[in-house]
Amino acid sequence: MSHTPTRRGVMVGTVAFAIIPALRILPAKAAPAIHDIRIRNFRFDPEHITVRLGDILRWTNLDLAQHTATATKSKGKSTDKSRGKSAGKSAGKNGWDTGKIAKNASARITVFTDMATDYVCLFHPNMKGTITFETP
Amino acid sequence: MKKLILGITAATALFATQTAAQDVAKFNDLEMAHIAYTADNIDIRYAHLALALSSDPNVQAFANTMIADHTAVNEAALGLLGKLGANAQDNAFSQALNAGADKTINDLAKLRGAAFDQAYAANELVYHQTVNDLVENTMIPNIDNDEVRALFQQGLMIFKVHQGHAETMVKALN
Repeated sequence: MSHTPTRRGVMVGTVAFAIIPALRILPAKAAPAIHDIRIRNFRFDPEHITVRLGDILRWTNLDLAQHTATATKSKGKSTDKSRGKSAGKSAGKNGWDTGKIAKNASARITVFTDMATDYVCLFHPNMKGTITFETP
Repeated sequence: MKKLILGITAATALFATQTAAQDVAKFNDLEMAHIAYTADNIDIRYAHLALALSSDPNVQAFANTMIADHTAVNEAALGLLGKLGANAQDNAFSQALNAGADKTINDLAKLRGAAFDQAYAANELVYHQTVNDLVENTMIPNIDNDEVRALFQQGLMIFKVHQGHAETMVKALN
């Protein structure tokens, strides 16, 4: 007895074939990456870092002096003219601040939407770093 | 006013040269450690004066950084001396530093407002330039103990950052 495929069976099979490749090409939701930034000799190392939403930035201070990583201005166009004077606060709702990081201590910030991308050490404003969002 | 500011900075610059730098080159490590510790404490005293007399947020931020950084260096120095089972040794140069600082603080304390801020900033620049030159060219080349030398080198890096910061502050206030 031969088996004749029903119309419903053909449709289910077609849908299944359509879905399986689609699942294969959809990127798996990546676990948040941890980006390590060393603070050494009064520099952020690396000074520039590329991140995705939800990633974690982790600064570790290897200097004797305490440092911070503190946002200075909002992402994109900024009208802020007080950069370096009231870092952190000047970045408004997009601002962020690790607070004091003592010698050999670490501090983390989770990357959030529209977070300010330029930052300094609040205590040593010549120390500068930037964050870039990875393009999808 | 300019004369007073120059007088203060000139006095500060002078203290380090009155007791000749070549004498310091002959000092032992523990005497040099005492000089560095004294120089740190002097800048902490200047910073406390600035916190008391200045209302400029940038000057106050700078002063707070000086207190935090020089305290950190001195704590590291005490930790190292403890590890080595040694004590810093008082000497004529440390005493000359303190005498110069007393005079500078007396002069600065007479000023108010922008005049104080400018004089404090100018003094910080000259003070760091003078001490950094002494540490880099006279002390570090003559330190015997490797760990003591390494700590001086770390300290010098921090104080050079302060010198740059002071230079920026001087330009902003003038």
